[in-house]
Amino acid sequence: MRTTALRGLRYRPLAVLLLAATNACAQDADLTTLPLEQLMSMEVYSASRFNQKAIQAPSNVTVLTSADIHAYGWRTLADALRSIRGLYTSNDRSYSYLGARGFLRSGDLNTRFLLQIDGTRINDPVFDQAQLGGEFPLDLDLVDRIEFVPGPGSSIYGANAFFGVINVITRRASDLEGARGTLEAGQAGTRGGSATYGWRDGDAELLLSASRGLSDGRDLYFPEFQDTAQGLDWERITRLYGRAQLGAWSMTLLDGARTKGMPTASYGQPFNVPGGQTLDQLRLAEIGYRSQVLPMHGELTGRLYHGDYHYEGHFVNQEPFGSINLDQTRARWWGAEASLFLQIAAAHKLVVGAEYQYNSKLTLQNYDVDPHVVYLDDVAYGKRLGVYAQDEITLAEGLLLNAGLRYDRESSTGGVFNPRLALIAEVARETTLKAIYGSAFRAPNSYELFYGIDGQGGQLSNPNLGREKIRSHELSLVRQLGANARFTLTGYANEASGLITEVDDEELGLPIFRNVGHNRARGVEMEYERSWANGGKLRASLARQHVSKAAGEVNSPRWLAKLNATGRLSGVWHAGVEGQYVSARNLLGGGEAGGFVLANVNFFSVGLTRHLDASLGVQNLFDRHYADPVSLGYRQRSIEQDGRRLYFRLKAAY
Amino acid sequence: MLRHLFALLLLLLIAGQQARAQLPAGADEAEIKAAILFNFALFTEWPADTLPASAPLRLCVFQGNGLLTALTGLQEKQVNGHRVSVRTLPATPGGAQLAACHLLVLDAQDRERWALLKHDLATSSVLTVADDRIIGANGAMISFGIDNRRVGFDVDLVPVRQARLVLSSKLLRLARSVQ
Repeated sequence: MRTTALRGLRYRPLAVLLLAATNACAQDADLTTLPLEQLMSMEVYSASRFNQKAIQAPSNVTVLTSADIHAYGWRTLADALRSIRGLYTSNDRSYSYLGARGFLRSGDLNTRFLLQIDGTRINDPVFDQAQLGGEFPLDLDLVDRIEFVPGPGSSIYGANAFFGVINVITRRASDLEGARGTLEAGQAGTRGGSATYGWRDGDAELLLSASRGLSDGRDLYFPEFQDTAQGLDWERITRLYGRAQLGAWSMTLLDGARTKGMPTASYGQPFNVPGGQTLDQLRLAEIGYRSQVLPMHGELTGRLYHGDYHYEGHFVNQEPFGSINLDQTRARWWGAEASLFLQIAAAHKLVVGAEYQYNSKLTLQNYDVDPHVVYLDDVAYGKRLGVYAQDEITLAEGLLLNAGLRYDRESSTGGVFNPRLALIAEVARETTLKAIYGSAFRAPNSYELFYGIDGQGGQLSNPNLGREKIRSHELSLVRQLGANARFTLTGYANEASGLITEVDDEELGLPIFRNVGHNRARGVEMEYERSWANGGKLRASLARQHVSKAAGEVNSPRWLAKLNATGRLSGVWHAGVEGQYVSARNLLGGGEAGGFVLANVNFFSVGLTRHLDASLGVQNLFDRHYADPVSLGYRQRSIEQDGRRLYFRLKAAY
Repeated sequence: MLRHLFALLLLLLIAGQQARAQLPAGADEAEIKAAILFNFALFTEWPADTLPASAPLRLCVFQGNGLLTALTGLQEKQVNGHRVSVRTLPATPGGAQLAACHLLVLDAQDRERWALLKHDLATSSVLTVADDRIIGANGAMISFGIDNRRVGFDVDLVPVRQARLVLSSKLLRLARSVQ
């Protein structure tokens, strides 16, 4: 579903086009007639050769910009995503989980979302995890924009683009020229800092960044244990990033490591005993090529990448008490990808591409450290291959057909085709109707296939698992309300089958993954966006979703409502306010987590002095108590989330 | 529920009709910079001997400048009774060619020739605008910068005064910094 329609895919174009669309008239307006004050409050977009409007894109993409990140003081990718229409998140104090269209399984690590940084897949090949919390390997200060493409996207993106695709696009050196630093302090022992250096000269540029964040966390009371976990909710994050570009060539290095304490006594650990923690480290090296000097407005992009993911879970044993069980995973992979965009005729645009990834080593290990007892030591290899084409044809004035097809082959489950068809019609002036049909798949990951430990507290492997599938129908109406406002109304019906679900094996009584889940969801979503000439912005959405009872899905709220507003208060001071309502969600084993309203506010300066800016953010402003449902590995059925937290931040740029 | 949805939809559609008169909240970076630059011309006073009444206002730029396309859009526009004329300079312009400019726009490609240009411009009344950090920090009168996805500018008054130019207080008030 590279809506970007067809070109350049994955890199720059998509959001640019979309952003441009909300302000489509800006292209035509004579900017010199505007007052200087207004020019200085306008957001800038990079130029794009391909002027497709968002309104013509074959899905309803949401774009969050660096200005939004700054305005609302989002600290994690999950914070940003939960502001999007129809999305909600959940946290079990180890990881953050994302839900869409009524589907969120706590503990399954966001395997049904594809996460990309500058077009490169970040989901690791062992867990297929999309890392959305502190474990996301990139500092949000380096993010230019976050694009969320809802709906099945396998027709272009392949595996895991099941409920949606999250594209994170990084900022370029031109945007961050010079030396910058941030310092941060917050409640619950939060402190951190970052340093960034950007340089450019002609068509050469360099961006280097390092950041470190620490948090002590609060003491947490759990009624299930009738006790308080003291000093165990800590988090440590280190992130390094480097990108160099010379002409058409670029090189990127990325290294993010996050260690998080486990205060929840999950997986049968003794309560309030230090030692339980998880480490997630992702490293990525990439060489990219992008050239625009072909006939037919062509553009060729290619990349070679190497990824390395390391997970280490320390679990405290009951027996012998206090000893450590280590759960270790290591994944290494290589990949190559190429895509070509061509504008064959004015009314005909084509993208073709191919992708190959070889997972050179996937290791799953589980052992007690002392005395040394090995429970699991598995090494696997794998590969995946995909070829795709997407075609956009203007059938008649105001009528666009967007058709995509992709063939994927994975070593575990063989080959599969995924199509996508979208008909986009301008039914009235500034009113567009989109009818979209698409399918997507997810292949079982190494963990689900091969993670098996015999005996009490273990689980069974299932190398015979098959693919999960989803088919989706979507109808949406987009109404452009003048140059600066837009209303979107969407209705969808999803049918997912063969969902890989953890169940108890009848004979051995141990948990095992099987393709037994079935999920049918229907829903309506609507959103209103508006911007003002003085830089103010508003985004409000409402989503109603219904998931078939037969599926016994938990963590599926009926209603979601969101409000995001930002604007200038006075002088250099601005504020961003967000409110979110999530209705009640069922818990595993019965009961429900109550609905809640969450409010966050962020005050920030723009140009406090030439070199300095400050911000003060308050999360959960009204200190509301609310809890998120969690997976079977917890004695708790839900985990209470953070109360009010204050953060203060200073930014300097030279 | 659907009935309510459609009622709301209708309401928004109606509300939207009113919103139409609103102005765009964003645009291409080069287009915004060009429009702001146009405002620099509007809010700058040149000495009468270099810009006589109704004479064309010459905006100079080197071939290959990133803003060139956007600046060309300013051609023939009127600034306080002067017609804007966009000129592209050769790689090594003569002193007279430079002095004939009223506004000179520079970017990263001009870093090497800047030291020489600065020397040649010392005695003339040319408003220098840099779309580059290095040149901006090295004696250009106005330099562009981007903050929070918005275009801002810094002013260095020392060379402005030397060139006998007068910037309006409005321009100085809107600048991110004035030194």
